[in-house]
Amino acid sequence: MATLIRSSARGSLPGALTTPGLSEATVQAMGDWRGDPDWVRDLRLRGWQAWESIPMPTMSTEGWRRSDLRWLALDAIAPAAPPAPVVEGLEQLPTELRGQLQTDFEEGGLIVQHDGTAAYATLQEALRRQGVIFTDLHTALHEHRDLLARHFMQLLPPRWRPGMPSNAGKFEALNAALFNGGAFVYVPPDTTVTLPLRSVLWAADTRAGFFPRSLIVVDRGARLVYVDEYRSAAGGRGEPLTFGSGAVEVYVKDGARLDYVTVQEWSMTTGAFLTQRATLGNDAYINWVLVGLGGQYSRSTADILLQGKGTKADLLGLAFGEGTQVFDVHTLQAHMSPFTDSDQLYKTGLRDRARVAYEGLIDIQKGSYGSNGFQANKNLLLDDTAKADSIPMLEINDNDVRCTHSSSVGPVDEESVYYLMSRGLPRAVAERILVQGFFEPVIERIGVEALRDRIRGAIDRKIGDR
Amino acid sequence: MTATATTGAMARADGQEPTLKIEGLHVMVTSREIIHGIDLAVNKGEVHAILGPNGSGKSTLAYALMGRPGYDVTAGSVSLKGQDLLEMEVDERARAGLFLCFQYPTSIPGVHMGNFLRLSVKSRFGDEAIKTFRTELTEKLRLLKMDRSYMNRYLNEGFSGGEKKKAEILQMAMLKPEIAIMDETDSGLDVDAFKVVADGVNAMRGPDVGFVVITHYNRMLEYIKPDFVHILIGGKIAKEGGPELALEVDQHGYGPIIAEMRARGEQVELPEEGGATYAREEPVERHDDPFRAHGRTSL
Ligand SMILES: Nc1ncnc2c1ncn2[C@@H]1O[C@H](COP(=O)(O)OP(=O)(O)OP(=O)(O)O)[C@@H](O)[C@H]1O
Ligand SMILES: [Mg+2]
Repeated sequence: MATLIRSSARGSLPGALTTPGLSEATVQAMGDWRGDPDWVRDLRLRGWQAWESIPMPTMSTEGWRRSDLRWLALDAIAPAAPPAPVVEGLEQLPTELRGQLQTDFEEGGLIVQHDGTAAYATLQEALRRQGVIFTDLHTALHEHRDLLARHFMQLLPPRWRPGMPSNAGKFEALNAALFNGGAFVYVPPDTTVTLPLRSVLWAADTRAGFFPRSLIVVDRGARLVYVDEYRSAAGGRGEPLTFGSGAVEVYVKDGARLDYVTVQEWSMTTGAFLTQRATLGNDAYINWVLVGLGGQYSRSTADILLQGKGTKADLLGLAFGEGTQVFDVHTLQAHMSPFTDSDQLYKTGLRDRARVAYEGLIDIQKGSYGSNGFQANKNLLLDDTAKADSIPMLEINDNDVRCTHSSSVGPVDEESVYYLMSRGLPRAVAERILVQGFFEPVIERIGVEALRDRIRGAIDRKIGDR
Repeated sequence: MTATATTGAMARADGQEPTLKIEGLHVMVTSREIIHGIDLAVNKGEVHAILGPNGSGKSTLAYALMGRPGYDVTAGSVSLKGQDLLEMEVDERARAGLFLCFQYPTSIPGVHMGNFLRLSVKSRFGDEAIKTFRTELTEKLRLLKMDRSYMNRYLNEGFSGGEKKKAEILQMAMLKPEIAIMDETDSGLDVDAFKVVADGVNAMRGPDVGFVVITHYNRMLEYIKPDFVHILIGGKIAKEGGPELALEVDQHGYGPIIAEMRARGEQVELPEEGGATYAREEPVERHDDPFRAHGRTSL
C-alpha cells in the first residue's frame, strides 16, 4: 500500500469561497483555487448559468410535489470550507470521522475526503500495477485528462439536455458550477477488482456547502466493487441545515460488472441532494444498493440507463428514518435497447414523524423488445405518525416487454409480533427483528457478501439507537 | 359449569397448587362467547388430552391461555405456578414457562430460524444459556431428523405442513416449557413425520413438564399416552376420564356424549350441523382471523 495523493489546490482558500453567498465570482474563484484547466472552467460557468436560469422548484413543480425545500438557506452558505491537512495514517484523522471508518472487510483502496480535500488515500500496489486508477477528482483532472474528457459531465451535464426528466437539473447544475472533491475510479479492460474500493466523503464544516462529484469508469469486461459513503458533521441547534449537492457519473462498459454500494449517513442537521446516473454497455451488469439512513432532508436521484443490448441491472434500496427525517427518492430504469432487464426493490422503514416520498419510473423506450422491467417499493411504518407516499410509474413504448410494479405501505404485522412474543421476545425485540427481517431480503440480493454485514450493521445501529 | 363432569386432576394428592390452574374460564372472540366456563388443572409430569369436534373451542382455549389478541377472557382465572397468568404480557407468559405449539404457525420472511431461536432461548434463560445453545440445538435437530440448513431459512416461510410442525416441536424442545400446549400438532403429518414428532414429544416427557395435547386422532394418543382425557364440546368440558375415554370417542364419535349432555339438560352449541366430524385432514385457512379483521396487511 502506498499513499498516493498530493493536494491539487493552490494555496489557502480565497476569501470569496469562505464568505456566505453564491455567485459567478465564487465559481470563478473555485476554478482558480482548484487550478482547473480551461475546459473545466468552462463547464463550471455553464453550470452556473444553468443554476441561475432554472427556476427554484416549488411544491407545484412536477417531480417536487412532496419536496418541501423551505429549510434551504442559500444566503447562509459558504461555497467551500478551508482544506483539511493531508494525513499519513488514519489515526491522524479527526476522532468523529475515525469512528465511522471501521469496517470488517479488507479494502483494495480507500480515499477519505475531508471537506472536499483528499485527506488520506491508499490503493493496493497490485491494483496499481494492473492500471487501476483510484484518486481524487482534482488530481485526475490534471493527470488523466484524456480519460476524464471523454466521461466527465457527459452523463450528468452542466445543463440538463432536452428530453431528460424535468425534475432534475437545478441542483445538478449547482454541483457542476461548484464541484469540490469527489473520487475518480478507472478499471482497465478485463481487469478484476474484487476487494472493494471505498470512498468516504466527509463534510466537516457545517456552515459550508459541500459539492462532491465522482466519476466511476469500469471498462470493457472489467469488474469492480465500489463503496461510496456520504457523511457530515452535526451542526448546532437553530442553525440552518448544512447544505450540499453531490453528483456521480457511472460508466459500466460492455461486458463489465459493477457492484456499487452507496451509503448515505449524513447528520440529522444536513439537507442535501445526491444525483447518481449510471449507463450500461452491451451485456453489462450493475448491482446497485442505495442505503439511506441520514439527513434531515435528503433527495436521492438514481438513474440507470440500460443503453447496451442484453444489459441487466439490480437496483436495491434500503432506508430507515426517524424523528422528522424526510427521504425524497427518485429512481429511473430506462430501457433503451433490446433484451435489457432491470429489477428494483426499494424498502423503507420509518418511525416517529419520518416521511418518505418515493417516485420510481420504468421507462421502456421504443425498440427495447424482449426487455423486463420490475419495480417494487415497500414501506414499513412503525408509528401512525410516519408517512410514506409511493408513486411507481410505467412508461411503455414497446409491445414485446414484461413490466410489473407494486408498492405497499403498512405497519408491522401484528400476527408476526404475536408469534415472536409467544416465544418470549419482548415487543421491542420482536419489532426490531421484524424490521431487520423486512430489510433482509434486500440485503441478501447484494452482490458482494462481504458488504452485507456492513449494511446490516449500519441499519441495526440506526434501529437500535434508542 | 358441569360439576358432574369435573374429575381427576383438580385435586392433587400433596395438596399443592397445580402448575396450571384454570377456573371458570369464559372466552369471547369477535363479541361471541366461545368458551363457556372451563375448569382444568395440569401438573408437571402429566399429559392431558383435549378432544372435541371442529369448532368446539379447543384452539380458542389455547389462544386465550397464550394471550392472543382478540381472544378476550371475560370471566374466570388462570394461574401458572401460582402467578396470575391473565395479568401477564404474552412474552412474560412464555418466559414463565408456557408454550403453545400453534395449529397454524406464522411465516415470517426475513427472520432466520437460527437467529430467532437463539434470541428466544436468550430471553427465556438469559445470556448464560447461549453457551450451550449450539450443542443443544445439534442434539434436538438430530432427534427431530431436521437438517441444520433449516437455521438459515426464514421462519416457517415456505415450510411444508410437516416441516412447520417439526419446527414448532424444535422450538418447544429448546425452550423447555413447564406447561406445553400442543394444538393439533399431529394433523397434516404423513406417517414418518408423525413418528418423528411423536418421538420428539415423548423424549421431552418427564417430571419437569406438563402437556396439554389437543388432537382429533387416537393415533397421537397411542404414541403419547395421556394420563387424563377431556372432551370439549360447544365450549364446555363435556366429559373427563382416563385414556379409555379417547378409545370410546374413537369408536362411537361424539354423538353419545352430546346426547348425555342434552339429557342432563345442558345447552350444547354446535358450530354447524354435522360439526361432530373429527377427522379433517387438511388445515383450513381462517378468514375470520381477528388480525385480518382489523385490516392489518402483511408486507
Ligand atoms: N378469530 C376468530 N374469529 C371469529 N371466530 C372465531 C375465531 N377463532 C375461533 N372462532 C370461532 O370459535 C369457534 C371455536 O373455534 P376453534 O378454532 O377454537 O375450534 P377448534 O375446536 O380448535 O376447532 P378445530 O378442530 O377445527 O381446530 C368456532 O365457531 C370458530 O369459528
Ligand atoms: Mg383448532
